[in-house]
Amino acid sequence: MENERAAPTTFEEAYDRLRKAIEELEAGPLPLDAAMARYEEGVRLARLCNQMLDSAELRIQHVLRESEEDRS
Amino acid sequence: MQARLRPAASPAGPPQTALGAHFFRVPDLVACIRDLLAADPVLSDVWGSGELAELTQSAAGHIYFTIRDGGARIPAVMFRSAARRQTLPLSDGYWALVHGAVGIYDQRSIYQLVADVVLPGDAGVLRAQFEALRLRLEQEGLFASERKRPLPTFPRRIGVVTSDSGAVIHDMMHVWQRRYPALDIVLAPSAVQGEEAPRQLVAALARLVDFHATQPLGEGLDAIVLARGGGSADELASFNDERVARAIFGSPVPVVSAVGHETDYTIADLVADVRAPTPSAAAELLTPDGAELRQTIDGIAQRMRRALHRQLAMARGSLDASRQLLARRSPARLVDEHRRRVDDSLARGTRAARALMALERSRIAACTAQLAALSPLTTLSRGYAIASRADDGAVLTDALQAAMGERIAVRLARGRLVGEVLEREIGGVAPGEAPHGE
Repeated sequence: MENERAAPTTFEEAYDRLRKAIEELEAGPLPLDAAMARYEEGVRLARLCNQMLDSAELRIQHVLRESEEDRS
Repeated sequence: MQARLRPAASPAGPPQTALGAHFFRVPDLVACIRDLLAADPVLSDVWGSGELAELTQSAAGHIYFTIRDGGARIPAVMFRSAARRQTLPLSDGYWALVHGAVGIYDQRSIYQLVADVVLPGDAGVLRAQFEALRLRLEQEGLFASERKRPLPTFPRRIGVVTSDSGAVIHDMMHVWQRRYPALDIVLAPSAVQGEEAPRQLVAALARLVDFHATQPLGEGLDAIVLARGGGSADELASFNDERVARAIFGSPVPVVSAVGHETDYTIADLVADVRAPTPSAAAELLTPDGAELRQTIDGIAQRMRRALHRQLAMARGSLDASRQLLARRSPARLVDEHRRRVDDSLARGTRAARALMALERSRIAACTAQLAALSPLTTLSRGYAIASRADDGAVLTDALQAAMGERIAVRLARGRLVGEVLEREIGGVAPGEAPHGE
């Protein structure tokens, strides 16, 4: 039942899968096993999304060229 | 200007070979002049100033007018497509700066200015250059709306071209920190004003494009912001530079312009996929709101719970229905039914048996009564007795059968007596009388 896909690595992927899970769950009758699996996956994904948002740190890097570093 | 005349080559007329390259049929001559004007780099991209006069608009939407200055005049036409884009209203007597191409109206061989934009007569050089560049790039398709790319919903990496010393990058980082910190910002610093700025902006964009191209798939830039704070028209000149416009156009990822000028659009704004009024606005446009997103996620989690409960309720309902169905068709029910039938049969059998027994019992009773009526004991109960010899039990029916002094037994209705014969009367006894006297 449970689709054994790798855990999502990006927020976008996690969020997309979360939306898909809720869509499938809301779309209509699923076999109970499948509904439970969707639900469990959804709960995991929602938690993961929130974790990703909470733990994210804004990072900045510069791309310079040596010739560019003496710019005014 | 140099005339590049082409020889006549029409099959319709007789070849005037003697005249050679100097012979033209009229349509060819007109076409030749038209091509000559169109090929001229100056006359095909020219500004003229003068007073507008004799304005008329055709039913098709083309505007015809004359531009005059002193005694000189030139007819002009602004075709419908250009007229639609013309924001400055045209009126007779207005002193205007008109841009267009000198062409010829074939049928009457009248030269005219085919105008594409009319500015106020006192518009500065910058404005005029801007309009000319805008028109050129627009015709080339650099601003085409079908070319605009959507911004990513959840960007991971955003390239920024701006000054690394100003408030702009700081303001944008602040917005991202607050709103959606799951970002990796790649800053390519560049001067944003001054003569060097266009070249630096182009180089910075190129560095970001290089960076993007060297990342593993999916880890490149999701968008680029080209930003600076507000400034005067002169300070924004770098963003009206054609090189910058072409660099933006060439970007492999969507570009957001944030030149910080609320009212006027720069060329960069027009080429960019999305224009933001300020750098902070660009930062917001590029990212989802984390707080909203959390709410959405929580909402989804709730909806999931509800959906699951619905599914469970439905499953439970169908289970109950099945159970009822099963119960109706259950073997247990059949067994019950059989049992009831057996019980019924048993009861009927019992009743029948009882009736039978009662009948038999009454028959037996009848027989018994009959038997009783016939029994000698019944006779005894009426007072008769049976006498027998005590020795051998032989029933005595004649006094002669017992000797004097012999022991005899007398059977009564109840009990038995034994006695001795004390006296005998022989013979003359009627049948049915007791064989012995009392």
